[in-house]
Amino acid sequence: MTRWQQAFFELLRCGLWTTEPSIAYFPLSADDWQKVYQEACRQTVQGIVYDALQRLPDNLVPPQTITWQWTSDVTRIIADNRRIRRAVTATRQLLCQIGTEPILLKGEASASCYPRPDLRVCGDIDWYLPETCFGTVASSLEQQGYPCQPKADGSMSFYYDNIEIEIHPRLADILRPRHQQALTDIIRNEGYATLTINGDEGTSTDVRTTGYITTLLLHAAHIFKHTASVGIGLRQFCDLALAYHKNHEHIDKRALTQAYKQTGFTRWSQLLEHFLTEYLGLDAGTTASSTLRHNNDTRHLLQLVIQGGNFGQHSHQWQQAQSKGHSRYHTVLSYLSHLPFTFRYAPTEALYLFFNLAKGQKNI
Amino acid sequence: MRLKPNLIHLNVGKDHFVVDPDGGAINLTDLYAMNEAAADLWEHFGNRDFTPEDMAEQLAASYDVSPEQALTDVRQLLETWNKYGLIL
Repeated sequence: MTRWQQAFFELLRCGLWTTEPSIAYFPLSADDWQKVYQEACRQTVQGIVYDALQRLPDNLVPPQTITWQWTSDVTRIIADNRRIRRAVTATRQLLCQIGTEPILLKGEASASCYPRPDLRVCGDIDWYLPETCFGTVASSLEQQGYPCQPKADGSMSFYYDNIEIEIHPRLADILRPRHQQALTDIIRNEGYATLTINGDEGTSTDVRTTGYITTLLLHAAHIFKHTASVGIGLRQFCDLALAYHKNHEHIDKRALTQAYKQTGFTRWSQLLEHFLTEYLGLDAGTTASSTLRHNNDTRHLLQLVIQGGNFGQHSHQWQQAQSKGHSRYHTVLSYLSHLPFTFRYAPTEALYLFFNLAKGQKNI
Repeated sequence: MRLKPNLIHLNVGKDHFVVDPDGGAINLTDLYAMNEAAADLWEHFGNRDFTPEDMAEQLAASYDVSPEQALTDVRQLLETWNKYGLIL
């Protein structure tokens, strides 16, 4: 790792765990600070890294031009999070009025694990509902002025306050039927959890979300799917690290290990746990693996993350493919190039993902 | 008077900012930069009613400045904050 990359990871760790940055990685030149800022943006972790900047000594902070731009970005992130929280409350109410209690997935559910949830870059809102409700929900939403669009992966989406709201018929990116059945059993045993979303002026709403073990499984499967295809950024690893950290006291490690095994993610989860402890500073004691053996593939995974950035959108190949309208071709090539790696860690899921892509499901 | 609620104070090195995430379109011109003394006053009076005299007293107690000069500085500061909508 270069000096600026070491500094970037140090700031990221300090943002995740609210610790003081080690001055051993600083000072940085103006050029290096620009690279740190750009990397934080590429990985969509600029809010988390900014939090750590606030604890650097005065003589080690970035040049003022970078600080001002970064502060402006962070203000926008905080504003987006406030809008998202209002939309979570409002769309839950919409769906409940139709007679369905939705399950909140990913984004906002992940943000709740952060020391400062407002600093996590947010995207759309993801709800889960059983597929049997889709027809009723779509027509009711349309009547209320929220037309739904079907998506290629079977989910549907609508817009609320210019925010995309996705409703998924599946909780996880797990494709092999045997693994899907195992996930269903895990969810049945574990049940759901309740998350309190704090709104404006002291108001709050309780929403249903996945249980602790299910949440870790969903994160692991989500990261696997995107690693296998065009790429994944550090924000998703941060989500997983904080989910481990926040909930480890509630998690039976044997049950978690068993859940990873039943869904075909034993080796993959071990690699992820190793990556999280090595690069993001997660306490190994909070993971399912009792001992983390040295694994050179964490470095390979890091390279994929650094090269691709957020969902692989920053790789040179992806940008070229986008400009030429060849994104689907690029996705297939990317799958094939990652297959030797992903096959080692979750072989059946890697093959199912590839066959689904070959069948033409665009959004896997 | 009272400071506008829901604003956020951010601080990197010697740069202090008050930002309004609910203020609509956000760009560099929506950052309110402050010096350290102003930021201290902002933190101190964040959630309560105050008068210019209260603030001048706090300023004089924290920094080496006469009460009269503190009141003059505070009035100037509050005028600026008022101009940018940071005060109710």
